[in-house]
Amino acid sequence: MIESFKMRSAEVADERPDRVLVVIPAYNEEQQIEEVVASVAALPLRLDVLVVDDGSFDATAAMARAAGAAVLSHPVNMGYGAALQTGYKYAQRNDYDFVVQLDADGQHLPRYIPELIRELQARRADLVIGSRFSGVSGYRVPRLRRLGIHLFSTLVRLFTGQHIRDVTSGFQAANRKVVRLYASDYFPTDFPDADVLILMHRTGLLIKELPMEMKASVTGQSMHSGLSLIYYIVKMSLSIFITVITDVRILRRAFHDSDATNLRRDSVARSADPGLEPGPPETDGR
Amino acid sequence: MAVDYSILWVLISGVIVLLSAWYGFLEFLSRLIGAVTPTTTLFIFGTIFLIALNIHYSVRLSELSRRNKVLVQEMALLRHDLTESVRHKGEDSR
Repeated sequence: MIESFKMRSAEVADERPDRVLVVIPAYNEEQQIEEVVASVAALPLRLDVLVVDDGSFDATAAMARAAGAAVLSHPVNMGYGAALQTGYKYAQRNDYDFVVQLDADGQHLPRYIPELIRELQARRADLVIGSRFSGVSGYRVPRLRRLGIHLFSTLVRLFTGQHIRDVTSGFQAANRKVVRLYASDYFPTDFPDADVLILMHRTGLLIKELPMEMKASVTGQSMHSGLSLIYYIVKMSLSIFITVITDVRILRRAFHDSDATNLRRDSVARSADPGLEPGPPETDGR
Repeated sequence: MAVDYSILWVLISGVIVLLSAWYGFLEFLSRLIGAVTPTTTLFIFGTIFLIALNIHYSVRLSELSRRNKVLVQEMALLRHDLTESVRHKGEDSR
């Protein structure tokens, strides 16, 4: 399968326009979703919009559908990470070349999407992160939250040697490799942030950050505040630790020459036989 | 899974009956681990057992919720496919 898509992107890329999917995970966002979907669809770009309705009990799904998006609905609320992953699974099954994810609350400006995709098309990165801290800024972040972001930014730098300032950004664009990783069991659906970046680096994928302006969330409710932020910091630190000790040999092989379609975490244990290949250095991915 | 847990609880009740009926055994155990009173022995083993059981449940629950997540995602994807194909059929027959 990998072989076939390698060929396709290498030989046919020029004839066939890249297929782009914009994934918007949404939970009770009926206020914003219509406007967000409409502004994405209004871009002078061929793309499909997918809203993953994470078990909302308001009219989010109906609003999104009315605005012209494809809608996937979780029958129960599963959390942001799971909703995101559902979108990536959809992208993988429907053979999209690029996936852009953005939040449903309107804080991410769709006008940056073409820029994100250009980076992928130029193959400057496998994942491009829209960052609110690199230079341009239109959005003030609460101090405690900023502290948390700094902590994880430092951790990411420690493990990847790469300086990524906004590790919690939900505005990202990914190519097929990343889509495959995100759709797999390796993706930490609890809350995917800094840990995924480290995992990607260890897998040998390239991450790039793009500075941009962002709107303050209109609904005003941040995902983390007060105690839940502290709990989040502890949880994320543990998740990073797990990411760092994860055996990524299977993944690295899958991205280079294997024909495995689905990355199953279970298979790692089975093939962890050190005789198979000289293992990569444990700490650094590349 | 239900049978596994039944066996576990039957065994546990057996142990409880054994310990209440045969006090000498409890005293023997206490001497073995150096406990002064038999109650200590009961508490120690009881606590160890409960902790182990809880860890086991955590592992089980995590795996179950992972599977649950996969199923919910699959369901959302399938439902979308279903609606799409029904809609296409409707368009074809018109």
